[in-house]
Amino acid sequence: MWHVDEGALHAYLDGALDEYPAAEARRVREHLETCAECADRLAEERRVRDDAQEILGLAAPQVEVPTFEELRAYVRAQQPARTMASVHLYRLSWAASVVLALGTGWLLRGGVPPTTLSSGGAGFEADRTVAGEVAPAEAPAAPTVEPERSNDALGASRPAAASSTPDAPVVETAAAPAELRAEVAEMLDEIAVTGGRAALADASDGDRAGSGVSDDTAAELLAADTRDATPEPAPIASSVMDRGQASADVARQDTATREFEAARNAAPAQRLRSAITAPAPAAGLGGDLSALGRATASDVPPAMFTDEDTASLVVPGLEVLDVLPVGQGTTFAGMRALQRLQTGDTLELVHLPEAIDPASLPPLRPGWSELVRSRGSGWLVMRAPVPEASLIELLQRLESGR
Amino acid sequence: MSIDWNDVYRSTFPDLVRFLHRKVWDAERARDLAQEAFVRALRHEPKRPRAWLFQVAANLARDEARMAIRRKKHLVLLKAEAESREDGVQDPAAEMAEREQWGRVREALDALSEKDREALLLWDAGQSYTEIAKHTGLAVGAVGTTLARARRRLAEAYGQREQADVAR
Repeated sequence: MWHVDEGALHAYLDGALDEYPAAEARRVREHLETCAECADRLAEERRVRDDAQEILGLAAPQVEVPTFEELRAYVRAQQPARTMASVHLYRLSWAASVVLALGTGWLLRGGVPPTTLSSGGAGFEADRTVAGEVAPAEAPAAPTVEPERSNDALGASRPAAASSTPDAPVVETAAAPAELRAEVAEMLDEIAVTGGRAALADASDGDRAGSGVSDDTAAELLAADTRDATPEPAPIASSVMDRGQASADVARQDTATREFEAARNAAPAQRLRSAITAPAPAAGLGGDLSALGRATASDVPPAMFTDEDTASLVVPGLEVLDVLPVGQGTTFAGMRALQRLQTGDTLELVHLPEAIDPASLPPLRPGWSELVRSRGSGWLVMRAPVPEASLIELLQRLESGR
Repeated sequence: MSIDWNDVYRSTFPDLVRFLHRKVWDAERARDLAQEAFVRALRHEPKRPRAWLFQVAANLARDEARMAIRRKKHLVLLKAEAESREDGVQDPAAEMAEREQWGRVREALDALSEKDREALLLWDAGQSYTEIAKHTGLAVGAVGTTLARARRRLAEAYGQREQADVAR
């Protein structure tokens, strides 16, 4: 005979049955009215629930709470300082992340044949595996239901081979940070000469509207009409493009550009999702980089770059399949890195500015785990078809840089 | 649809402090972090403020646990105001007893898996099953099972620590 499981008993006690499918909730209620055995179990679970609540109540904090007006006044008082200094630093730090991401991708691409990490290689294949074939790129997010409480109670799929070339070198990032630091430092030197000082001078004006990341919500951010923006590749962008495109396949880039344009014309609310789920632009850097030029090259002073930043983009010791910025026009919406786990599965890391709600990302696929962490002035979202405990270990490796 | 932030603040702030306190075990720090979460929310005005606030609060608490994060000026200022109202009201003996009790609860909570603990604390802070599911990645139907396991384990662990203290 069927009996109510303990989870449903607790849902009943918590007044949460209304959050279950209606038929299931009705079935539970009807059964509890007639089954003596389940009534006994319900009494036992009620005791457990009450004990737990009492224990938690023993550690209830006693604090005075400022009034909302006090809080609001404080936020207002902070606003001028934020717009003049901290917003700029906030944007700069994200711009720095983009440069680092691009630098990482560029360096790693530079170390392997184009077939390995170009759009036709591992990066593209892994990307398809992660985002494309199981879930449609434009799949809408699951509807959000936030019902009121009632008073009841009283695929994982593996990425394709790393390279079509059997003996193609494997990029191990264990050795990458030191090289990366040197290379990116060199890139930042270029920025310092060309755009960085101008950006620093701008900082004192507090007028940074129109570049970098705003403090708006994700939808507002992505709704910015980037079609009017005609960004000119800034020095660092040009520099990277020159080097990156030297080995790029033009045909693939055209295809990716078309895909990118399609994503760009999608409804604003879906742009982030499509940008995240769509295959990487050809040669990874080219398509997005030109659009990101203003937000990167002119905004990043050398002082923003630290060893910690370099190490914190990807998990050390894992092969990097792809690193690409996510954004349109001059609007930067995040950075995405793909790495191959030792099991062969793909680890996805998405770095987002604080203003972008991680819930804007595509829904998590069945069998995948996710970690969302605030890091500095932004978010890190880690996803992989592994248990959550494994993601926590990977996060610790990423943060320790080992 | 515009959000009544005054209402959100009144209905959510105490829950947020309660949630954070079981993570950082410092009432004033929990309040500081809750304030920080609200300061960010007022700047960003998320569409689902309650879920957003708890997600940010959880991340702040994780950061707090991981490293001694720098105390930001605005938090210090708010804290100083509160301290001036609370000067010298705590009895040392009562404070010690309270600390011991918190220690037992903390150890009992530490006996839970991270996911079970998170679900339980979110429930205790007034989150619905749907909100807990969204926050933890569980299916709504699995939240009850998780809470049942967490509550049972918490009661067992707390009982064991109580017995150990009595035996000492």
